[in-house]
Amino acid sequence: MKKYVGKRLLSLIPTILIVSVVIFLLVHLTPGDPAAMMLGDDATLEDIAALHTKLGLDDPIVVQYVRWVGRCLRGDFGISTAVVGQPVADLIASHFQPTICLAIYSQLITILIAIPAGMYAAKKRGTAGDYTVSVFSIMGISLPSFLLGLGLIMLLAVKLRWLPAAGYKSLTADGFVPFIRYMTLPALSLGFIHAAYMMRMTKTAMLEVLGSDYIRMARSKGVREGSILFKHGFRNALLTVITVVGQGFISALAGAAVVERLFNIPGMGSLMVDSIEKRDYQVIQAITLLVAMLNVVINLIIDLIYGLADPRIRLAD
Amino acid sequence: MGRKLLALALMLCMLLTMCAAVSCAEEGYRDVINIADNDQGASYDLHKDTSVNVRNMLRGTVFEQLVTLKANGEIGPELCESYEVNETSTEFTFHLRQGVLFHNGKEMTSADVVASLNRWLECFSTARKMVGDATFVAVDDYTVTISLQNSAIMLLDMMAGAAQAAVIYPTESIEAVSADTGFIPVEYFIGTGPYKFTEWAVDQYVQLDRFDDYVPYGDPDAPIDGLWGYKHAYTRTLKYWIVKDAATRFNGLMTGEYDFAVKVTDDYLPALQADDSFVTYSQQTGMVSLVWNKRNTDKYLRLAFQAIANADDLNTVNYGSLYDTDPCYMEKDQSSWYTTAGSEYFCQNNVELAKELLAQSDWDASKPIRILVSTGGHAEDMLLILQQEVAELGLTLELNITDRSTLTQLRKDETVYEAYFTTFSSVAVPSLRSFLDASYAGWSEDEHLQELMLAMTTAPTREEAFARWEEIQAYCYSDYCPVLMMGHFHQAAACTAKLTGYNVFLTTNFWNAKLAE
Amino acid sequence: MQKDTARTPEERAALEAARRQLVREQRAVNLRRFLSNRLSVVGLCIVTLMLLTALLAPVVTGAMGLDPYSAVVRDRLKPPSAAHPFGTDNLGRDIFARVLYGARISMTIGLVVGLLSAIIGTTLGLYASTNKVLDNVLMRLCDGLKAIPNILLAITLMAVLGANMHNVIISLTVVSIPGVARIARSQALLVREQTYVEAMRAAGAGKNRILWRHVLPNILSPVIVQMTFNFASAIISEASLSFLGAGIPIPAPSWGGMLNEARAYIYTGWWMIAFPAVFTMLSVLGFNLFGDGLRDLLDPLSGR
Repeated sequence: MKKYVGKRLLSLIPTILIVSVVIFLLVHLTPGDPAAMMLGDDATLEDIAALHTKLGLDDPIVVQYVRWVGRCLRGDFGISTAVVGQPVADLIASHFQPTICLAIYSQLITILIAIPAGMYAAKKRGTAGDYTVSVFSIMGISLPSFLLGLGLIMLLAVKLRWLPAAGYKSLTADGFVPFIRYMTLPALSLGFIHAAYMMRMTKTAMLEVLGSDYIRMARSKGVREGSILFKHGFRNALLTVITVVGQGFISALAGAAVVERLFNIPGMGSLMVDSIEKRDYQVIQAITLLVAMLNVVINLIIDLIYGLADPRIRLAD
Repeated sequence: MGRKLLALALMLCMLLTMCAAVSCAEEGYRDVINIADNDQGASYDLHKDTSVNVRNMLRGTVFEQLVTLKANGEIGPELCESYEVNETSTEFTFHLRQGVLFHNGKEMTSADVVASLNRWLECFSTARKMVGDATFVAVDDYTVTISLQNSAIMLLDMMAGAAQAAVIYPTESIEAVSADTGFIPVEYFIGTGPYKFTEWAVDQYVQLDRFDDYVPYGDPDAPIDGLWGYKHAYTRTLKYWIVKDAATRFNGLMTGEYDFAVKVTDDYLPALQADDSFVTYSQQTGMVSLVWNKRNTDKYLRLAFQAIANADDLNTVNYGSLYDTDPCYMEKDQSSWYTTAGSEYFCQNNVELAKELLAQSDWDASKPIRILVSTGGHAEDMLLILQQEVAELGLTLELNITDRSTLTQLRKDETVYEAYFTTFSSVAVPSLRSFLDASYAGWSEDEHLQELMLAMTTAPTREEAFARWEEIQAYCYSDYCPVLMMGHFHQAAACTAKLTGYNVFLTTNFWNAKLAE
Repeated sequence: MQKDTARTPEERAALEAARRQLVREQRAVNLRRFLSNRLSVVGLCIVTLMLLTALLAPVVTGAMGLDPYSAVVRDRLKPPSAAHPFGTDNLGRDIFARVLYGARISMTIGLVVGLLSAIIGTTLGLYASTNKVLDNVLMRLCDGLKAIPNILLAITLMAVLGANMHNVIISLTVVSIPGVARIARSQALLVREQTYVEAMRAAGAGKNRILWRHVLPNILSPVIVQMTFNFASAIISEASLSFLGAGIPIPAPSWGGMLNEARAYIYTGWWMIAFPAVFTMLSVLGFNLFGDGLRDLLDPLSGR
């Protein structure tokens, strides 16, 4: 077990190294100039060129890469150019909270919708209820999140005025109620789509378990249906659910750019998109590395949970 | 000494009246105005950051200048009591107001002004070129002067209205300039205006709070004249939310999230205008144009485009009703530079004339005309219409659509395009119209134009400078055609009807705004 | 057994499915089964309809005298009518014609991205299964690419390459390759363990011959299923890219681009957003349903 974890952590190094090279090259190959973005549209070419040199962007790309990696290893991720003077680490820290809150909230919604629905569909297989769940889930998967978000805004915010149309209130600074009011629509738009996916996975996993020999055995022994469904069925389907939650979490961490943009949430996704637009090299690089690392670590955790939950799966080999 | 005492007494009186005024004014009014802005600045350092949002938010609000713009385009003294210019416009002397306090409590003196203005010259290459080696120097604690080799009457206009605003920071701020980037850090955004820069929550909001020791100038009973006049902060806090999406700004305004929204697009205006609880208005904000690469095109091709273009069709598809076909290269608000010279040549929608002009051109009609345009402003749509229009002349346009950063990079390379689309926000003086500059992308290297430009910038009087300016614009329209001018776009803003007291000049200024409960 | 250091969930599911599949040796194609599933048939119908729309767009619009590109400014933002069944957009172009032509773009993107990523991914996966060093290099590369969020990788690629349709295809393909490669690799590893492959090897069959003639056919089912889903997600990704301003540039009538433009006219022209939205959803739905049916058919144990 320890050996396995160690090995997995070790394999993180080449992955991260590859990510760093890929993203550094991509970013520096992109046409555009951070200095021009720093000075605004009306800046003169002369002023821009001077700033360009000052930022060290005239150096050969290899020199820049080595300098960057060296600084990263010392824990210094550089200074943003789109938010001049702000250390990248601070910028990421301040954008992390909204994203993590959104990820958790939307995953909660996902779980609350998807697991009961998925279990119900598996239980009532072939009935109208099962079909309804199937249709809903497939429609959810087919819906781009921004369309769902737009629809929710039009209906719940503009027409009915139940919830604010956009914006973000911090859980720590503004309190729980404002936080929930602002976060609900984006979490719904994100959560519904994950829920659609999770419903399917839950149903599939449940069906598999319910069709297995030991459940048939339990049934023939007269174990109550409820107990079969929850104690035997769900527990075994849990693995799949954990996997889907883990994946949903990863994609909410970084893939929520569209939803964050739509709801004006100052999170990691919108920071990333802005940074690409404004050619904020340091921020793009640092976020990509961070997300990549989180991605690998969350996958490792999922695998470990897998191993603990189901000893049949051999981890070290 | 006596004068100082008098000033102090006056100041005290003012403070007292102000406190009294504030306490009554606050009755029935909200403490916070929530403004939905469309973007944030890169730095909010006004000497460096040329973006419109930054200037609109902070100029006159947090930071003030020695001189500022009045509505008729005249220059009004702001942080100075008065100023003098010698006959040849080579020597400028400013007498500072006494007792003006910075947000950190320090009194403003000539040391602060000299440090700030010399940094401004350092940051702003256009101004630096205008003054040559000269710098601002302190004569005494309250007098600052600069003397130049050549006449530069427009130096004053630039100090009043340049994109890189000549605001006054205390010396501490200038000394705090970061060695890495050359920008002033946020903690040192200290000015003399009625509001303090309290917080910049990146990507969320910028918060400005009332500066209780603000020392106003002008007549308390007169309305604000342009950017000049008696400022009185009724509201405790101005919160500028950064809301990039127009739909989000509109929805937020409708739901009461925001009290004021900038850049309201044409789609939302009918809904807002139909509703009595909202007020909408719009104003000229900048010029819409296709900048020609003069190194790759000849003037007849450019004139042919000008002859065939239909300005209404072009603008409608992008701006809806939010535009006008005013031909002036400056904005209407800037009445002292406003001219219609050459307007008879403005987008004539005349196919026959265009054909005649094109016949004189060397342009090989089988070659596509390569045009750069950036995404984000929906300007691509306008170029599709232009494409359709010039197809009648047998010309083809090849659009290269990129993001803004890529466009600013590509336009430096003369070999990759014939023209690029851009909008220009307002500038303080015509000489700052970058497309008239020989070194600006597009390269207006025409000798006659540059002679006229020099004559304008070195004119000893404003009258003469204006005469040259009319000549320049007429020449550009009739002959040189450095840009295909399509008109001016408007920006609409909307706010709740409960908001009053704001003034509109170039942008919306919230110094004296108040929001009823 | 091969080292299995970084298994992703899909891979794990695929492994599990393949194991059982191999145990039972149950690979008879059962068309009736597919047709008996009503949702799959609906999916098939939608897919066929969309492909037909894409193919026939010029014929249909030509017959109606409509053009997706010509703009008549005075007719801008007109609601649906007999002359313009889906109304007109902000330039006065016919939305019906644009939506039909949009099907061509979306179908092309879906098909090309699906096929390209399947071909490249399968090839990489197959070769990775033959050589440990290659396996390590390729899989670490895949890990690296997978670790960068798809949409962000795609935006960055678009910024580097420049905005046009080819580059959208390239970006989305790059993004989808690692998923296919992992599935192909884990399947191939399992198949290579099979007795008959070992027998072939012992009999002296060439490495490439074994790979392409014997391993490949046995790993195709999950790859094809993955392909249909990649197809659907390519359509959504294109729309999302356009939403973030990094998609196919105008005047190409891509659905994503139309949706993005339409966002500025929700109040004055709801039809601008409604029709492309319906078509986007329908086609993604069609491919998802179709993919489900296909999976039930090819891979009976992993589905419902």
